[in-house]
Amino acid sequence: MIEVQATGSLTSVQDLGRVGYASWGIAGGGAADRGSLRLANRLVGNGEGSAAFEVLLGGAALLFRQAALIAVTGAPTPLLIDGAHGSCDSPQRVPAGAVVELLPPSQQLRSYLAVRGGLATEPILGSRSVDERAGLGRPLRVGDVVAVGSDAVAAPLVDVAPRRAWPRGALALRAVRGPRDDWFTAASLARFESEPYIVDAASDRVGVRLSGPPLDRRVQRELLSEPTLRGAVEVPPDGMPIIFAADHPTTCGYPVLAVLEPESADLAAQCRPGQSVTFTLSRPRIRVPAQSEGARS
Amino acid sequence: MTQRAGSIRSYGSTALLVETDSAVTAVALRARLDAQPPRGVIETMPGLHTVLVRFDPAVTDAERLAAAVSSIEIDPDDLGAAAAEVQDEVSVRVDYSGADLADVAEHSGLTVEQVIDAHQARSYRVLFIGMAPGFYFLAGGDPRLNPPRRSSPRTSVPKGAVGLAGELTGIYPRSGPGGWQLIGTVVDDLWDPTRLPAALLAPGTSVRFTSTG
Repeated sequence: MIEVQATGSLTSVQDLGRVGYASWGIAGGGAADRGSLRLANRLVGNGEGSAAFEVLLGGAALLFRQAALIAVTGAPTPLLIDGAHGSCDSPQRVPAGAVVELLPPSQQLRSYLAVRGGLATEPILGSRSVDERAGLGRPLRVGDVVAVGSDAVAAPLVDVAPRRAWPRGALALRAVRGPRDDWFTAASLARFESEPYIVDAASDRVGVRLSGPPLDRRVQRELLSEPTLRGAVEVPPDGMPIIFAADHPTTCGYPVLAVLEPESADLAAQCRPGQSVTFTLSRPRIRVPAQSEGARS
Repeated sequence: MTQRAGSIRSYGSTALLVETDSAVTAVALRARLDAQPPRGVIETMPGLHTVLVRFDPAVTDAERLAAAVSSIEIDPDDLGAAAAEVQDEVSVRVDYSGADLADVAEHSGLTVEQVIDAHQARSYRVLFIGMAPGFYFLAGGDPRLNPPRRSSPRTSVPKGAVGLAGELTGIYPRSGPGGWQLIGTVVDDLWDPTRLPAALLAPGTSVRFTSTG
């Protein structure tokens, strides 16, 4: 068992989220930075999708009532195990009765602490991920006790994983153009690809809001609500793009200009307010016109 | 009569957005894809005139999946197992006192009383729950009711508000901003996040609106 002694600003249990509940209004959810969750699980020999702690900006303290093997990935947080410095991106032994503290990281937002065996909270709709927006579960509070499961699938073979590089300046994000890029002016598309955008403070697990050169629409009619995914770049009428994050709405009524590659969606979820980002767009592989239109042309 | 999907577009590197010509065709296409998923499909997600198809790029690729989707003969009368299971029409009680009733009447060329009657005259179907958790999208009502969204969204609509936007009726789960034309408020609480799945009207349910008066 693990007892929560401090949570910092937000600590929650996350795995790789839910599949198949979009028609109930429930998004995929799960770890905001999926790559870091997977890595933490691999380092302790869990299946990649085991549940772990997601800690926003450090400040969490966890009392381990049992000995455990842990790994901390994502935002590089100074790590204390019973007061002694531990290492991120590496399996670490925790003796029974030890307190593990995550201090505020020097960069990025969210750290992932995986425990060998996984966290065994009660699953809801096939996942242990907390989704506050959908009302599924709640973040951890001081005094909560979390059980360790039996999800280990392999011996932990890797001693240390290379840390993901984080740039000093603008962060480059890769995206596929569309599906509604044709709703925007050519000048706006050119601006989106050439000028940096700044991450706004009003960003969370639902969306990463950006400010920068406004994106103007060429098509003014209303969009019939469309399904959407993590990484979609939606542009509301004010022209300031929003990147949908893990707990995004399941449908959106504004056009999506581009959709981030999964690895870039992970990076976007780690951006602090004030971070500068740039976009590189690749061409969509599929753009099949309606079959009746095709017959006419 | 069967029909084919409309345009198909990449939605990032792991999904395709498929357009259809109506809400019912979108439901039918999604039901067909769920019943007989092409290889590599992870899940389908509903939109009004769209279906998003997520796939595993390790199993299939966008070209192969697009070809499979465009070859499907969609039968708009076959709304799938989910709709077939939900046979009983559910009655939803509405207090028709919405702030936009007069505007809806003016737009449709009806009196307020005729708008209220028209809204109850035909059965609607729950397409899906989307936007905010608990927001119901329903279609299939009287075609004379087809108002645009409000030019400027309200910053706050009441919990349970019933709104119209185009051919659709929506029910707001809780108080919040909203741009649909409000014609009333449901009497019963239709969204309870402590009950799972938290929707009292499942996708596919037939709904008849009735007046509290």
